Amino acid sequence: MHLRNATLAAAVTAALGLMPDAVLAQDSGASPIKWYGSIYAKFLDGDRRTEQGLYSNAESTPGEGGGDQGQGIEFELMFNAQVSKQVEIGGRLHSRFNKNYWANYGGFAVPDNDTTNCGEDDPRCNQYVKLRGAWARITPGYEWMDSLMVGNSDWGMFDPWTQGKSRYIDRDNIGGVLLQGSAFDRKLRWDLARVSLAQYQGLTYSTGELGSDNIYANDANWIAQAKYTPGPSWNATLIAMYAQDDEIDANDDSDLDGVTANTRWDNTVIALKGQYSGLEFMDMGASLYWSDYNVDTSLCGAGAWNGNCRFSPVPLRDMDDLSGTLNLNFNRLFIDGLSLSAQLFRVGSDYVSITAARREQDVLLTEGQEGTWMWGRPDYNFGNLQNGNSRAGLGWGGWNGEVQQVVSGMADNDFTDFDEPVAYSVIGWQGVTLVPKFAFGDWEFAAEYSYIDFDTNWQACGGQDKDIDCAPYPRQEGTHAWGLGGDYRAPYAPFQDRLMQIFALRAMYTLDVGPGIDLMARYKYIKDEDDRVTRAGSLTDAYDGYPNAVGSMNPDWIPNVGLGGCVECDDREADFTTIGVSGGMQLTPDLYAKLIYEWNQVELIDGTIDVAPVGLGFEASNDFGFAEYVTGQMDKNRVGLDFSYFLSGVEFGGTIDYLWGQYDPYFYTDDNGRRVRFRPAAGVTAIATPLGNIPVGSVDYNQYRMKIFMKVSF
Amino acid sequence: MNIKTRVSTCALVALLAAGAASAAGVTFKDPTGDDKGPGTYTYPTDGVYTAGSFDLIEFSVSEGDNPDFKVTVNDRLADPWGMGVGFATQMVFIFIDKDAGKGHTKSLPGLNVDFAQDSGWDKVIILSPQPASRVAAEVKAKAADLSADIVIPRRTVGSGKSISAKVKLDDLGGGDPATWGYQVVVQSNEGFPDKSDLLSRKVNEFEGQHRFGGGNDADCDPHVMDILAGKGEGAAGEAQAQYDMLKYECGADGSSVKRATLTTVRK
Repeated sequence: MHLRNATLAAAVTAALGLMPDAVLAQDSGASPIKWYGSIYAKFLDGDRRTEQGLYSNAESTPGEGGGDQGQGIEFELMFNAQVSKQVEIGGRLHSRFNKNYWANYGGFAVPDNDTTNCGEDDPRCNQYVKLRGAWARITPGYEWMDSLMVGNSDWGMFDPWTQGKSRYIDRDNIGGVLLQGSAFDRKLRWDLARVSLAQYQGLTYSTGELGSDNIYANDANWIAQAKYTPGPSWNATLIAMYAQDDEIDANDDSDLDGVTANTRWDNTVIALKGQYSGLEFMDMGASLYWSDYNVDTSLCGAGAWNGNCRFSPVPLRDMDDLSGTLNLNFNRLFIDGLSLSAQLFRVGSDYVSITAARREQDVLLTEGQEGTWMWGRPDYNFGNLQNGNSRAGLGWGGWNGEVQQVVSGMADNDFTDFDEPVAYSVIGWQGVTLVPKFAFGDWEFAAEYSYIDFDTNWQACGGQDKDIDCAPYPRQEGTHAWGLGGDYRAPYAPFQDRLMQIFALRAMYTLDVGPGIDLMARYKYIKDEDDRVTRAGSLTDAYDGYPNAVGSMNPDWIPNVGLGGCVECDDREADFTTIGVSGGMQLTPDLYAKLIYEWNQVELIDGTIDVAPVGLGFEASNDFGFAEYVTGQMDKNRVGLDFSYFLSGVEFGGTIDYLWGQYDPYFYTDDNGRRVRFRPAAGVTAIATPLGNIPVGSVDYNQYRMKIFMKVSF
Repeated sequence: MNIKTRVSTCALVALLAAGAASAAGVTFKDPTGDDKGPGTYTYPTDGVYTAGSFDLIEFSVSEGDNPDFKVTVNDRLADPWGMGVGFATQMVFIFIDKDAGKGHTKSLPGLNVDFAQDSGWDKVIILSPQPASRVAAEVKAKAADLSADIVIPRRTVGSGKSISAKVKLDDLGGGDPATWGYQVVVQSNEGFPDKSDLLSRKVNEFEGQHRFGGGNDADCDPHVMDILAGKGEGAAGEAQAQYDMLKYECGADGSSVKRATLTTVRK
């Protein structure tokens, strides 16, 4: 046998665990392969009756609209092996849900080349197992280098502003090469990586298409990081990254000297971070990020706010900006048990980091908006089953988990359930957050105050004409990121003058009854105001879009382009209030259950009945649902039951929610340039608005949803 | 400013104005910068394992029938994994030696340490960000023989730099905590532990994204990042005392030749 083949055979044998332990234990440092994994089963039920995937929210893959019905089971087999003292490998074999309902009968069907009937030909339904997260790690023992990793990772060694986490669908889908090393007695540690760009990490969610000469397969982010920790008092980190998307030069018609590649876009980010904890009373940390983004401007033509490239996670023109944070932590403020964290932050409107985290990381101290109002374009007025986008998302309930702030134009919540965190983009946010915490006896208190101004406060994006001056900024789904009725990855509005304040207070107390009852009460109030167009001369420019959207306009509505010069008439004000209480108890040593009640209210004014969403066209029609009429008061109650049950090797958990509420539509109109409450005359049943003829009466709504899971680890 | 804004502001001010007297009890200090186990250990490379987050700097027990056991580390706690209790990466074992010369000399699975004969522990409190019932299930599966002396607080929380939990004195068999000996072992919460580990993170020769480095690939090295040592006063020399206490020897085949042996510290 050839030497190379013999070596490979030995490695494979070792990896498969076939080699006797005694042999493995010799000087090679090898150890038997370890196999471990999990069986994960999920039960979803609800009264939305959607079954386009066994996730509450699955929005972007054709044929997977998310669902609240059905049962399915996943299998994951993980492995790792110390092949030798210098080589370690690992990976996973995993099936995932998609539409693997038990009711599919194991995906059994006659292959028919049809990927729409959830049969044997549809990988979303046929319970296939796929290799995921494979990696090899080499530790050659060199002085200058500690390790080389080749393969898949979540790249968590970097930070969420540069190369962040991007679970989609798996956390370790992104592959690359990582060199790590250290110097100066490990006071300096460095990482150098080439991370392949995922296919969606580009202009218009694409770095090209395989086989179409876009050479997307070699696009990558190069990133280097050096961490210097001379002692326990301070440390500093320097990060530099350069991401580039190339494609073939369309004008190169000869391959005699190879084929020329042009840069479609590139993105540089330089970051400097530091922490100092040498003071007795305070720790501090700071970070500064500078980004530079260049794009081939010919790709999106002349460009316009509502142009072809509007659906893109990155800007359409060159830009650069600074961003950063300053954190001060007072660990004992005057008295025992009282601490205070303060954060000053700025995320520049033109900050671009195409590989920044899109979920599962949080760049700001604030707890942000409430998940229950995130995404969802709730169709409070009609409950129209044909309204596709209103039917997508999670329904009335929104997300129960924490809310995460990311600096990505591709913030994403695909393939999540209602009990998971929800992420949204905070590009343009700037302000301050104060978080005091206080523990006293059996009581724990936490609070927050955040004052948030916006670097995206501008008129016509800082120019004179939105169609020209806003052209660099992607619109995404067309509705600007708001807590209610907005998209979580659309940070740019063409006209904005916004201020948001967040107040939160939480108290926890463990009642010493039986095994103890964990009581919690919370109050949260968010005041979010946006004057939008602030100069009369810009009103026509701002509101010329909707009347031009021929075919989708509400025929009963009479467009009032320019709002008669009323700059107050498009002001948006939202007051979000949440009051929640819960009680949790360890009912048995294995079973913990928590009962939750929450009351949420939004009082919202989204301009007068003459205001159409800026530039919105067909998306505003009630059958499409990228925007809904939401002016009014929305009350929502939630009664929920959370439980977790552990036995050795298995966990059961679940959440059962019942939500009910009421929507009272309010109407406002223009009174000589001032916005005033408009009260429908007796007998009037509906008011014509750009978003449909809105019934004047109150609307009740409710939702039931349930998720129960089982996870067996072995 | 509208009425809701005013009410919210007042609530925050009231919280800040609240006061409390500090409780007496017993406090131990530990030097900073000794979060290296036996002197060679390094942190995992993932960004969540921030500098100082396993560096024990203080341990205190308050007075009363329901004393607060508080462990302070040299970095602000964070919850990157959404554990919901204010911390995520740390896992702390507080071994209590109530009766010198008696108690267990065997430690908990995964730590790979023993206790000296005159420092045997009688009770151990586990401060974990995992749900109490999960910790209990792990104990039942992996340390059933010691479970009677393992105390899992019903609620463990992290705030600022401190992880704390209240434990009823009765659950510890009564007595005066100020007179007891203690050993505080700082480890890391591992949600996917090895079959032999009690929710703790491994130490290998080379650090990885989610494992400590500077040790041995086999289980002959102590899987411990920081402990109390010396007199528990935080003197610089206590770092070396820790390194000496955690000295170990491995055979060529990865077997243990000499296990690290811990002693408890008392006032």
